[in-house]
Amino acid sequence: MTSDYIAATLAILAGVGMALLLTMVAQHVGPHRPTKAKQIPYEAGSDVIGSPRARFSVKFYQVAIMFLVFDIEAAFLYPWAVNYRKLSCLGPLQDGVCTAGVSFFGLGGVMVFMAVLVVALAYVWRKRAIGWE
Amino acid sequence: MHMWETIKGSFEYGHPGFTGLSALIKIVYLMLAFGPGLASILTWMERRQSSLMQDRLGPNRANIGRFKAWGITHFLADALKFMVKEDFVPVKAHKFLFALAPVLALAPALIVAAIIPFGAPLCWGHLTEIVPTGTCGQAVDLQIARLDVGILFYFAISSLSVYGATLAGWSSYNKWAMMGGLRASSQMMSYEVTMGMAVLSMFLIYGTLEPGAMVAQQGYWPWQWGIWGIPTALSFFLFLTAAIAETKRTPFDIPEGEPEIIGYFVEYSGLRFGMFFLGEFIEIVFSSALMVTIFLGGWHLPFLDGLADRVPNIAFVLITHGAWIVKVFLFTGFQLLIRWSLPRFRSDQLMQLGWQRLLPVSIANVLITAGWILYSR
Repeated sequence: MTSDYIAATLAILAGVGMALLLTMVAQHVGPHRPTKAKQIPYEAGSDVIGSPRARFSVKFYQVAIMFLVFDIEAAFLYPWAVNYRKLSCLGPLQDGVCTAGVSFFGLGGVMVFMAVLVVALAYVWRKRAIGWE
Repeated sequence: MHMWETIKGSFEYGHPGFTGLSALIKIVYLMLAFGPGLASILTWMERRQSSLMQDRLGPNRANIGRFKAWGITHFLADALKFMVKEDFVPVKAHKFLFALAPVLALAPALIVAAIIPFGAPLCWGHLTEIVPTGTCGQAVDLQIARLDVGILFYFAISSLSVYGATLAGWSSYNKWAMMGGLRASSQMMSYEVTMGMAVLSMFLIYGTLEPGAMVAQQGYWPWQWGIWGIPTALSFFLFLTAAIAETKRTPFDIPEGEPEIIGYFVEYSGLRFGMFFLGEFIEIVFSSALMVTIFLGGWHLPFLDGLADRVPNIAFVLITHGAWIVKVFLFTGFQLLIRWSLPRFRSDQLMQLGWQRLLPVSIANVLITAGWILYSR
């Protein structure tokens, strides 16, 4: 219903508003007394060596790409899951109950889809793209 | 005259003013009072419980006058302390992103509350009468937004908090913060996939993504709840593991490794640090609430079948809301207990567990559930 989407929008505004309010309180209530020693990046009190903008392991990037692939695949499965009972029935559902015979369309279709997913997972597994060694 | 009409309309069921007002009341109660309130008490509970498990006394001294209650007011003292501490911004930090990061950590944790049903529907205009389930014409759902995409909304919003951790790490211009941010983002992404897959088998069983409908399908008796059954118990376990990893708590606390890198918020102080801290505990509260909704019968009070036919509507609503609070509280308590009970994972073990153990098991679980539904029909 439209009113529920308005309520959800209000909820989003309230959440962001609360966070912005706390940020403003943080900026204006607490004191600001910067000193030279305070402004050195806190790395256990020792002098800073090198820059935090240095290069980092490509593994993090791989994880991000894998996340995109697998999370989108999972999102594709959501509509399938919701319609699964309908897809598994030869006739139309009566009050959510199937009176006709069993159809393997829903299960078979997702088996093919999952097979692609599992092949992809097996590939990155064999290529050692997951995990640090 | 127009103003008066609007005010009067706000008390009439179905009027836009009524809908807006009831939504606002629910938002203020659940999102701005209950969530942060319980989360603040949990911060004290965690410290006190940690100390008791380590044979220390812990925070037990704060008081308001003579009111002490085992030091429960420590959370108020903490909030006050956060506010009056110096708000420190590193010189070389990216100022805008540094300010944005805590907002992105806290706001999504609050917003996800919008889809959680926290009590039986209220029957407006018949509050003192006995209203059997499903016979009310003017029902006000105790749920901020009844969206058909329900749980998908939860995932879409909650995964935004990854940006909070990553941006905090990058913008601070500090190597430790950077490491913490990278670890946090890779960990949260790895477990997000398992989380989505684990809950997929519950969608198969319920045939809907809408949390309110899920609760309605579960009954009063504990064996009618979502968790009852072999595929669903497995998906509960997978979901719980992934949810704890998402909140970056022990045994998955590598991004915040306290003894070594401290975490992506190492350069944050005062209330901005408090926002990360509070956001994490609010995440615990609402992820527990989501698990209670999907797996543990939501607001259904166990062992009291047909209570709606015996007590007035308002009492029934309050009792079910109370049952929901108790369930959520016990579940958050359980998540706190895990902290000192399990040793921490190493970084490579963490990735291995996510991608090579939990993900294959959750994929198999989806197929088994699908097959089981066909067989048991």
